[in-house]
Amino acid sequence: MDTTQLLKGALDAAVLAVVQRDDGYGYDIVRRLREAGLGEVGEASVYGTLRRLYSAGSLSSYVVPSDGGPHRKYYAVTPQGTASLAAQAADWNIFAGAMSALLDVAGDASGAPAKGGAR
Amino acid sequence: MTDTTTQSGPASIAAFAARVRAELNDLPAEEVDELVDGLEADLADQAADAGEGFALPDAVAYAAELRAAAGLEPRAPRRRGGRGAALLERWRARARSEWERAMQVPLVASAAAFVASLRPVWWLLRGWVFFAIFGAFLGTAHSVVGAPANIGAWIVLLALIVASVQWGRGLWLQRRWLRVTRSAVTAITAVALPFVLVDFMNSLERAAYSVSTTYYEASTPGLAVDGVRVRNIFAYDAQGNPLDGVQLFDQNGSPLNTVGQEDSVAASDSYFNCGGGPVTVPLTVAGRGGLWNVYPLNEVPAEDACVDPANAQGLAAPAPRPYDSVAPIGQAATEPSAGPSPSPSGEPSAEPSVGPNAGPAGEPSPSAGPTEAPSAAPSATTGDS
Repeated sequence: MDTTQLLKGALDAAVLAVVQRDDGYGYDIVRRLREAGLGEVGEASVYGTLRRLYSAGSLSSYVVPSDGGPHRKYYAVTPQGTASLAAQAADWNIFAGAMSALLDVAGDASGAPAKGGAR
Repeated sequence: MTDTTTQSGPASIAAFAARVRAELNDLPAEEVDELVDGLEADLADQAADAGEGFALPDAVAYAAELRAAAGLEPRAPRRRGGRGAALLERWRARARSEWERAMQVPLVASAAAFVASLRPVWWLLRGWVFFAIFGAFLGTAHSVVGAPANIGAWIVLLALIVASVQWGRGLWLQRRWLRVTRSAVTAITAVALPFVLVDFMNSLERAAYSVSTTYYEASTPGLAVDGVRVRNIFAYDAQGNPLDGVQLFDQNGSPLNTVGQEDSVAASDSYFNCGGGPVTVPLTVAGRGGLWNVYPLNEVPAEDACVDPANAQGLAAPAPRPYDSVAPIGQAATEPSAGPSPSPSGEPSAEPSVGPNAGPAGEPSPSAGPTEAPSAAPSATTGDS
């Protein structure tokens, strides 16, 4: 399955979740998403998402000067972002539960013509 | 163009960042800064992570991905045209971003959503306004601006409204000339809308006024034929001889007054007083008050001057009859015998008005026999009381 398609709908929640754990700057967030298992996430998608979440008020930003290197723009989750993440997490759990149940049934059906359970 | 380079030096990263910026140059500069800020540092980090295998992505695809993720419009296809088009494009982008910023305000957003939900109203209005302009040009206008004058106009109005609504729904626009027409009609109707509305309201007001005027005339108190007040009534019998002291009643048994119910106790006909012609007065009988339904009524021959109702009865005289006598009912009606008699005495003329050779039906037919006179005729002494 093309995970980039799946990622599209879930990227906001993934980015918010990562930033909520710890403030971070652009590429840092990409790296943590990849470490978490979302290997196919595109940098440009993450940067665009950060910008959009910032515009929508879910993220705030602050600039951290670094010695010898460029300034880094760090993102942090706002209370609105926290609320948004909670709502998305709830939606996700319902969706994921429904999908899991569907896929389990499909797996059972393909495994054996079992009629058990329907009693 | 594939910009996938294998170089990862700072110079190539800077060049890549510049290309991405160039791809975003239709956006406001502020937005570009926000999007691309940190890009070079991020890429340098990424290059450091990836080591030897690092390759810069395609700048065009990268910029497109950045836009899509940021919820921005894809880049508009490059237009022909020079600086003017670019300026227009930039101005549009600025307007778009201002609009998006305004939409962040909940009140603005809900107001915009409310207005957007009224779009079907505009579609209807567009059809109607175009019809109103159209009708004015054709000269087939109703007295109320924009109101269809006949069935054909109704069909035209209906067709225009259907076309306008279909356009609003994005239909009926397959051909370029249709889209051009849509734009032209929209522009014309949008400009004309206030004027048409004002004209419509004014014409509606005029129409309402004329209706109320008609109503007022129709409700003039008293007896009227086709809106013209009847002043007096002259009766002739079956033989054509004038009658005095004729009592008239309507189908309900009410006395048939020329002055109407409200004025039935008045001493003279106020409608004709002060310039309206001779003024009639009721027949006065001791103990019964004024009788307005005994004809012909006496008149005060006041053409212009006003008559004091208190004195009217004293000034009144028998009204001059329009005809001394008329043709007997059985005869073919031709000319009555005489014009208005100059003498107020109203003597019936003795000789028949029409010669015997005028028609075969010389004698009154049985059906046209003398009408039964009311038995309880009051003393028909017309004149001074």
